[in-house]
Amino acid sequence: MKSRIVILSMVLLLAGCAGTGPSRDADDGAAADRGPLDTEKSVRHEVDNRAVAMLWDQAEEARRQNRTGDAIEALERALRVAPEDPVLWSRLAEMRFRQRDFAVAENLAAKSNALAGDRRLLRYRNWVLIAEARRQRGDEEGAREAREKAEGLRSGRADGEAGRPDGDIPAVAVRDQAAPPVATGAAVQSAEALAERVELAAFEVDRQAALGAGFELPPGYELITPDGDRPEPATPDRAMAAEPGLPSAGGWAVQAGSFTRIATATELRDRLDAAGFPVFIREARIGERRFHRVRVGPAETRSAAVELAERVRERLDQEAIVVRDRAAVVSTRENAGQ
Amino acid sequence: MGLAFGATSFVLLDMRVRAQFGQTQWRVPAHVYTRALEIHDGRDIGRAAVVRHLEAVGYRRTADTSRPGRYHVDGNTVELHTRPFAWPDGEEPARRLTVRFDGERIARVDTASGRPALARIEPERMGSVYPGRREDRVLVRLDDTPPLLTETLIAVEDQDFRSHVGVQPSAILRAALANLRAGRTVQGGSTLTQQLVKNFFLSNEQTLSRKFTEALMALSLEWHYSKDQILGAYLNEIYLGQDGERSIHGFGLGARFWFNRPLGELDLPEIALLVGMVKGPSYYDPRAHPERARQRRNTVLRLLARTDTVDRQRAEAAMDAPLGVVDRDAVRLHTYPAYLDLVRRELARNYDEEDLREAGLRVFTHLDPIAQRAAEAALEQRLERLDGGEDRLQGAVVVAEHDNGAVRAIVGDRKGNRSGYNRALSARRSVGSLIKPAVYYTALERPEQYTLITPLRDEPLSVERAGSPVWEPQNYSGEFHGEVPLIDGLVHSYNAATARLGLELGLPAVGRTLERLRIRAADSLVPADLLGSTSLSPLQVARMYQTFAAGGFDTPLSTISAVQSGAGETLSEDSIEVRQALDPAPTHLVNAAMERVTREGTGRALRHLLPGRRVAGKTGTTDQLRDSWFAGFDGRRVGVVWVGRDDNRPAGLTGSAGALRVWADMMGELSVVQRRSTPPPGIVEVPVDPASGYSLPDDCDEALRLPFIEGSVPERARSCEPGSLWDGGR
Repeated sequence: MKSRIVILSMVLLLAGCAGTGPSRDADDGAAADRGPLDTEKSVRHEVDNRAVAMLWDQAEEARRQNRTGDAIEALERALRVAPEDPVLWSRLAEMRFRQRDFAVAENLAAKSNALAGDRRLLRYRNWVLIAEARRQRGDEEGAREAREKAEGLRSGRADGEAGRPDGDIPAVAVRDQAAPPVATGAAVQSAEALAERVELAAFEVDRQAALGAGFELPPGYELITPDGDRPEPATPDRAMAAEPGLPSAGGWAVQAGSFTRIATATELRDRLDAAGFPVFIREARIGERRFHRVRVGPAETRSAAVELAERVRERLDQEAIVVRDRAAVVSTRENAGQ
Repeated sequence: MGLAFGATSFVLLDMRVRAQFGQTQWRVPAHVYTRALEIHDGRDIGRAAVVRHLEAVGYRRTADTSRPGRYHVDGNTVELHTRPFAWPDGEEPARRLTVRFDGERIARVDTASGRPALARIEPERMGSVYPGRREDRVLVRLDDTPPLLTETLIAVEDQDFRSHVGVQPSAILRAALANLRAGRTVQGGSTLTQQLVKNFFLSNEQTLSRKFTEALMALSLEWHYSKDQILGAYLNEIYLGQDGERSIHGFGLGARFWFNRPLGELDLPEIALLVGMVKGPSYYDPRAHPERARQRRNTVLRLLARTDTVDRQRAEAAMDAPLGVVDRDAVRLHTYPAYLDLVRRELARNYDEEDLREAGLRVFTHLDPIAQRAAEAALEQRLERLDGGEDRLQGAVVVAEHDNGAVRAIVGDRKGNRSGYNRALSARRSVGSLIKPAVYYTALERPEQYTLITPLRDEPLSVERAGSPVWEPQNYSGEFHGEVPLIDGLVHSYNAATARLGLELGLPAVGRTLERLRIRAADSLVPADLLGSTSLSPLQVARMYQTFAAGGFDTPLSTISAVQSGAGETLSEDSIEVRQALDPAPTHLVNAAMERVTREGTGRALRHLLPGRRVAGKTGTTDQLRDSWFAGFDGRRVGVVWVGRDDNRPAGLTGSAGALRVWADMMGELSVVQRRSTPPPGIVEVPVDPASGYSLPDDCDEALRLPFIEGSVPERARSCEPGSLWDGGR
C-alpha cells in the first residue's frame, strides 16, 4: 500500500508580522470560513508528493540566500510535477516580483488565484502582490482595484460580491501596452520596501519529528501520515437511525449505477468490493419502479466524494457520479443484498 | 626536389598546422535530445516504459548495479544507478536509486540511504536539425578517457608514441620495403601523429609526395604541441564508421554508435574491438563482418597480453566475450521530422545555421517519445482503417502540456517518419465548430445576461449583407431544435443556435475573444466566422485549446527546453510564462460544457472509447465533410487532431468519425491524468432543471449539477424533480 504523506509548511503572510511567529490552520479552505480574516496567520501548504516537498525546500533555501534564479528553477520544476498547487504559483509570482518582472508576477499570482479555490488567505496574499505589481508598472487604477479585492477578502465581504469573480480583471497583456513601467525614485524605494517585507515574511517552517515513517525528512517540514487511502466509515454516533450494514444516510456518496434488477446491482457491488471500495446498495422507489442504487462511500464532503468518484472511474472503468446519499426517497427497510 | 623548395614548403605547412590545429574547433553538428526522463514519486509512467527508456539510452540490465549506467529489475522494483549528467540547470551526480512502481505510475523513488529522490535519466538523442553529409562526434577529454583505451591505442598503433618526434624513419623504411616487395601498399607504418595529420589535413590518396607532406606536418605538430594534446585530438578525430550520410568520428561517438554506451563504461573487450577497428572501420565492421571483427579484436587482445598492457588471464577471458555490439536499430537516431521542423523554426530565431551545423550545441527539447509514438501509431493505423490503405486521407496531430506549454508530440503526415509537407504547422484548414467555445465564452463572460441554462433559439435564420450571398446556417442533422439551454448549443454543436447567439453578442465582441486567444484580429469578422470559416493550422488550434484547458491562462507552446553550448554553458532555458488571456470563471463554464460534449454531445463516442477518463473537448466538421477535427484535453495534455485530404476534397468524415477516433486511440495509450475539479473562485455549483430554468434545492438526488458564476444562480424551485437523470434502469 502506498503511503501518503502530507507535509505542511507554514507560510507567513506578506503583511509584516515578522516577530510573532507562525500559527496554524488559518487557511484550511473551509467554506464556512466567513468573517474577517486574520491576516497574521499562516497559509498551509499541503504537499502529498515528496519530490515537490524536496523542490520546495530547495526553492526556500535559495530564496533565503537571495539566489532568486535558483529558487525560480526549483519552483518551476516542482510545478511540472504538481501544476495545480496554488502555493507554488504564488511563490513563483513573488520570485518574479523580486526580479522586477512585474507583469509576469501579476499573471502568476492570477494563476495561483484561479487554482486557490476558497482559500481566502492565499488569495488575499496574491491580491496584495498584484496590487504592488500594478503600482510598480504605473497602473494606479488597477492597483486600487486589486487592493479592494484584497480588502474584500480580508473583511469577508468578497464571497458575497455579486457577479464579480476574481478573474474579472482584464488580461494583463492589454495593460502592458497602456502603461509603461515607472521607475521613479519613490517607486523603486517602495519596491525595495516591499521586497524587505517579503523577506521578513519568510515562509516559517515548523520542525517536528516524523511520525512513523522510515526515512529522513528534508529539514524544515512537518510530516503527517494519514490513516490511509480509504475514506473513513461513517461514525455510528453521528446518526441514530442507521440500518444494520448500511452507513447512515445524509452524507455524500458516489453512485456507480442504478438498476431495476437486483442481480445486476449485486454484481457491480461485488466488483467494487473486490477493488477495495466501501460499497453498499440503496433501494429507491420511483413511481412504479424499484431501483437498486450501487453506491460507494460515504464521504464526509462533496470534494472527498468527487475524489472517490475519480478513483472509481480510474480503477474500474466505471461511470460514477457524486450524489447526496439520502435514504428517504421511499423506504429502505427491505435492503437488497445486505 | 630541391632543398630550398623543401624549406619553403615546410614553412608553409608549419603555418598551416599552427593556424588550423592551434584553435582546434571541432565541427560538431547540434545534437538534439528528447525530454529527459523525470523519475519521482507519483510520476505517471509504468515500469515497461522506464525500462524501454533505459535500454534506449544504453543502460545495461545486470544484477550488479555498482557502476553507473546499470539497472536491475525485480518485480515491481527497478534498482538503478544513474549516470552523472550536466543539465542546463546544474550538474547531477551519479546515484543509486530504488524505483518502486504501482501499475502505470511510480509509487516512490528512494536513494540508497532511504531518502526520497528526484532524478533525471538522460534523454535520447534525435536526428539532426540539418541532415546531410557531415561529420558527427561526441567530444571527449583525455582526462575522462579510460587509461586502458589510450594504452591499447598506443600498444597497437604506435608503441613508441611517447618518445618519437612525430615520424619513425625505421618504421617507414620497414613499411616501404614490405610494400616494394609486395608491389603495392600493404603496410602503413604511420605514427599516431601522422595518422592524425592524414585525417585532419589531408585527402586520402596514397602517394609518395603526400607521405612526405604528412611527415613534415607531423614533425611540425610535435614541435608545437604536447603529446597529450596530440593524443586528445586523435581521440576525437579518428574515423570509426559510417551511418548513412553521417560519418562517425572519435571514440566518444564510436562507443555510442557501436555499443550504445558512454566511452567511460566500456570494458576491455569493447575497447580492444574499437581500437582494432581503427585500421579499417568498414573492413572490420562488426555488424557486417562479425567473425572478421572478432579475429581482429582477439589479435589486439593477444598483443596487449604480449606487451603486458593487460595480464594474460584477463586478455584470454576477453577473447571469449561476445562482441557486445548493439543492434543497428538501437542506435538509429529517430528523426521525428514534424517535431524537428518546429524545433528548427524555433532555433532559427536565435541561432545561425552555421552554429547549428558546426558549433556543437546541445538542444534539449520537450519531445516525449511515448506520446510521439502513440500519436504516430494512432494516426497511421486509424487512417489505414478509414480509407482501407488507399492513402487518400491525410492528417496531423499536436500534443502539448497545457500548464507549461511543452509540446510533447507533433505528427505532420500519416506516415510519421515521412518528412516533407508538415500539416501540423503548414496546413491551414477551416476549423468549423472548433471555434464555438470562443462564441460561448463571449456570452458567459456576461453572467448577468447568460448562464449555461439560458434558453437559446435553435431556429432558421438568414443574414443578408451587402456584397455577400445570403447566409443561412443549417444544422448538421438538418433539423432545428427550437428552444434549447445554452449549454446544449455547444454540447450538441447546434449551428443555428450558435449563429444567433454570436449575432446577439455582436461580431466585434466575439472578435475580441478571438483576439485574446491570439487567433485573429478582432475587427475583420464576418458572420460565417461564427461557425468556423476561419482557417487555422493544428498548432494554432492547440494554442487556442491550451488556453481553455489551462483555465484561461495562455502559455506559448514551445519545443525547446534549453540550449547548451559545446562547452556546456547554458545559452537559453525556457521558463514558465503565463498570461491571463481569458477570465477563469467563464472559462470554467465553457470547459464544463466541453466536458459534457465528451459524455453526451457530439463527442460522446469517447464514453466508450475512453471509459472512465474525464476529458473535455470539441469536434469540428466543415462543409461537405472536408475537414474532420477534434481538440480535447485531460488533466495534463491538450491534443489536436485534423484529418482530411490534401486536395481539400470531401473526406467523408465528421469530426467524431475521424479525428476523434485518432485522438481516442492516442490518449488511450497515454497515462491517465484526470481533469481537475477545483473550480476557480466565484463559481458555485448547483443542481438545476434546465427545462424549467430553475435551480433545485441543495439536497436533491440525481439532479444535473452545473456551475454558475456567483450572482447568476437561477431562482430556486421549491421541490426536487426526482430521478429524472440517473434512474434510467439500465
